Amino acid sequence: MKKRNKEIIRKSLISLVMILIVIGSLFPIYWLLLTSVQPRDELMISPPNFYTAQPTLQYWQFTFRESIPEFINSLVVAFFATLIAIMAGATSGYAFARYGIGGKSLPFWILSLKFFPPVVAIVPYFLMMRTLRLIDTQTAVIITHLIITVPFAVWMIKGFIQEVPRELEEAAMIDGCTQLGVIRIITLPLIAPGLVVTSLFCFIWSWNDFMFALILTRSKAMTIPVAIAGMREAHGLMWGEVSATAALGTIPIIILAIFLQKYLVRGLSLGSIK
Amino acid sequence: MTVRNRALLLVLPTVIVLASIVIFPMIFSLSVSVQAYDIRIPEHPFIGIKNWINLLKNPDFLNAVSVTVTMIVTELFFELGLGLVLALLLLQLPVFRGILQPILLIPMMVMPVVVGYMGRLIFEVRSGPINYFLNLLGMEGLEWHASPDLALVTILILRIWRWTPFVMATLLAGLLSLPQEPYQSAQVDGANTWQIFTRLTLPMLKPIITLVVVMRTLEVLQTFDIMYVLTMGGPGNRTTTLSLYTYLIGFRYWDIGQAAAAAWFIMIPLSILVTFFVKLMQNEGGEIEKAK
Repeated sequence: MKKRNKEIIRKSLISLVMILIVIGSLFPIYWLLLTSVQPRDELMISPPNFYTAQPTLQYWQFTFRESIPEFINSLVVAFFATLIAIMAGATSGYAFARYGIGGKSLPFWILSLKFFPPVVAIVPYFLMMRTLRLIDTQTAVIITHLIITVPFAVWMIKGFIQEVPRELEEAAMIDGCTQLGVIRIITLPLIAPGLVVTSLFCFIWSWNDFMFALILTRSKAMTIPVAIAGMREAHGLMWGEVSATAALGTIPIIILAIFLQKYLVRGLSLGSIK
Repeated sequence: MTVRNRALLLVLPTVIVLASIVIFPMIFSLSVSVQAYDIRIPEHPFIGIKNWINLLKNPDFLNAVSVTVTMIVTELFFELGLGLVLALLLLQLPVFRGILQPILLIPMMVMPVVVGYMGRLIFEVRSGPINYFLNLLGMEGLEWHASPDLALVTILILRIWRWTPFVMATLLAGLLSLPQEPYQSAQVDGANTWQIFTRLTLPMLKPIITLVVVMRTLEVLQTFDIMYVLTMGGPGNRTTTLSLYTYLIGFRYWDIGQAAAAAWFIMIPLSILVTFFVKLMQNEGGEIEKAK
């Protein structure tokens, strides 16, 4: 009995510590949101206000008025970078998982490209896009984002397909299904959650990218991260407006991540942990 | 069509896309790195490895190397330490864990540009909450990212905030995958908690710790966004990492040839690490199964 009490006290203490850590780690996000709704005369005052009695939506209205083009650019870029990655991932992932094409080295070469550093690519990409007259277009950003999304998608989808038991496909074949029919009826439904997870991750990587979009866009095709970084320079004192835009760029991603919950670690560790 | 041909047909488009966005630009980048490439001038004379040599003689470049190495060492130390402590704490809370872990992972999803901007808000000298707390504790407010001594510290704090959850989650998954039998026999043998941790848990966790170390190092080597927003490498060059340095000489001072060469000083150590990473993944069979 005494031992059990001790155990309960220990667990409560640990829980308490963890709750404090959670509060601390969410504090910067709270502060960003707070800054985005504080009336102007409460912004950046000393000492700071830790809450606001009269929240205002004026900065959010500003953001919805001014940042819509950038928001749409980010959406379009992330959508196509994801779509192409999923198509590439599904086809070659299937070939890797089922036919063992390219042996071990080709899939691992593709995996290693996940770490291809954007900074190495920015000089050649910039010069190439300049020659192709693609600077400041969504196309240029989509093409460069493929280096972020495609290797990840191929590797993840290969893993998901490998989890579908081969026997299931073979049984369907014996029952008279065609190869394509097997993929449609057996494989695709089983890997559907994996495809969704992979898409969400690709979308997040592309959405959060800053460096490619920074060197390849000027105004027309500017994405949200570039807009946020630029607002800092152009509007030194517009804390509320910048905060609202930053929050608008961040909150959808956090919501997507909540859907990913179960698969978050698997994706972040590139499938090394299931 | 034979099976092999069909498989080839499925893989080919991906390989072509990747080759054209990776291999061709790499060759292009190598060739630019041996030219005096100024974008405003149409002629780009060949100058051999002069760009490479100049970098090695340039104190700003050497400073960028040292900033990057400092960041790698500091981040690994704190992120692994804190991440391991958090993972061990979560391990004690089997029920609560399911809610806590996703919340703790939220900082990882914040876009790096916004992390830099958040730093601007919370470390603000006059009205930031951090200095307010310091004042409450009876300390003077600090200049944080505006101070030559603390700028790098400020960036490290933000980066540790963003990345420790990743280390925590990966190590926790590793801890959950450890077999239970060795623990039972250790208890029978009367080992204490510390002995169990150092002689059992840590050695068994080693593959996953190595994986985390490599992945984190690879990421720090490329770090760019937070500095761009918060300090632009300053004050002076105190927070100029290799990536930022490459960007600045290429796209601020338009010395594209020099930037291409600088990028290769990131590419070379990175390739070695990636090779090592791939070896690790191959040894693990590409996966470490989590025990149910």
